[in-house]
Amino acid sequence: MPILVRKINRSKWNNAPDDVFGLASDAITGCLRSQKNSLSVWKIETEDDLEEVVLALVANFETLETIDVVTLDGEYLIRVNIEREETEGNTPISEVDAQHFDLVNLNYFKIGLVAEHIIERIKLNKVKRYTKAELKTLLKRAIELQRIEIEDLNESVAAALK
Amino acid sequence: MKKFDKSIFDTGEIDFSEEEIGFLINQLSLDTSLKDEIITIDPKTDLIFTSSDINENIINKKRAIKLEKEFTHKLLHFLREDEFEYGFKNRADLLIKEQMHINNLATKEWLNKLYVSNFNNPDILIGILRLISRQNVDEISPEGKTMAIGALSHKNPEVQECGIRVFESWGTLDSLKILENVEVHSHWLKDYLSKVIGNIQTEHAHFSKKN
Repeated sequence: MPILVRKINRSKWNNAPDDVFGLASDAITGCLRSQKNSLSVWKIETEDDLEEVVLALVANFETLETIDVVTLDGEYLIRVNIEREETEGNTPISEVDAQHFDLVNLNYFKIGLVAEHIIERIKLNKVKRYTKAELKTLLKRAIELQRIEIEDLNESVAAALK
Repeated sequence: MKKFDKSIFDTGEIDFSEEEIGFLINQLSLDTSLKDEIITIDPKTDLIFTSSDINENIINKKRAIKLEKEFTHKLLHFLREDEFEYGFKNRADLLIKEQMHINNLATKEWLNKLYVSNFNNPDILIGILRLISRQNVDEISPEGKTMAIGALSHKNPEVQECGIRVFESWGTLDSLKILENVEVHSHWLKDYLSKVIGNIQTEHAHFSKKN
């Protein structure tokens, strides 16, 4: 079952109600801000691969900070007609770039479906917070394994690893 | 005793107009802490300063007024309108970086004032907390620490979370003392707080071993 990963801000979904219509609008405008009616997601096959995507995300950061990622059920999104297109990512972890997709042709109704699905996933504990310390560990390991060079990172992120 | 010369207002990057100088003098005259050191002579020669220390106060006051007059609106606009994403900087970060570089004493005092006057406005508090979490702890202290401590007791969980994020970002031993005495209620926030405490403890234990 393909899993799609989206970076969100957990605190915006703090009081996620049972009903999506009660969701605070900041969750939509903050975490589901589309561009050209598309939302960026990453595809993984199992949750064991989640760290790969997180590594790709954090390798692009300008400042090292705790983040939240939610895993979405790719099959469910297909069932509710949310289309996706492969659009190569642009990160220092080039082998992950091919896993980047966009959810496309989103409209008012479909973005609501995505929001509703995120609420469900949060209830199922499918949101994971990576603290700054955990992100440091991921980056340091990637550098040790020569998957990235420290020079690939933003100066502020590289400084945080020292 | 030193005769006041308007050229002192040209130090640093600020150029004040006559009108602004008048405003500044009025502001300074209202400041009782400076009263003993300020003497009005005549309309052309406005003030006399009794020691060079006062010039430092003047510089900071002048910068504080400049920040309040020219940058408050700008910063609040950036905090309200710019998109924010953890891991990425925005225009508010650039503004604060620039102002901290020019005069960090006045800038952190200005941020503190803005913070207190917006304590009932979580969006602004969150924005300011994100900014201070990205500053060097020594440069933003003590105001930054006080603001972050205040956030931990705010009723809004997102403000509390941002308070924890500030201390996580600094990762100092005194951050640990503060975080160990915080109470949060949401399940996910409790998990986060406990992880941050654990991470800081581990980092400092590791550092102690190395030394």
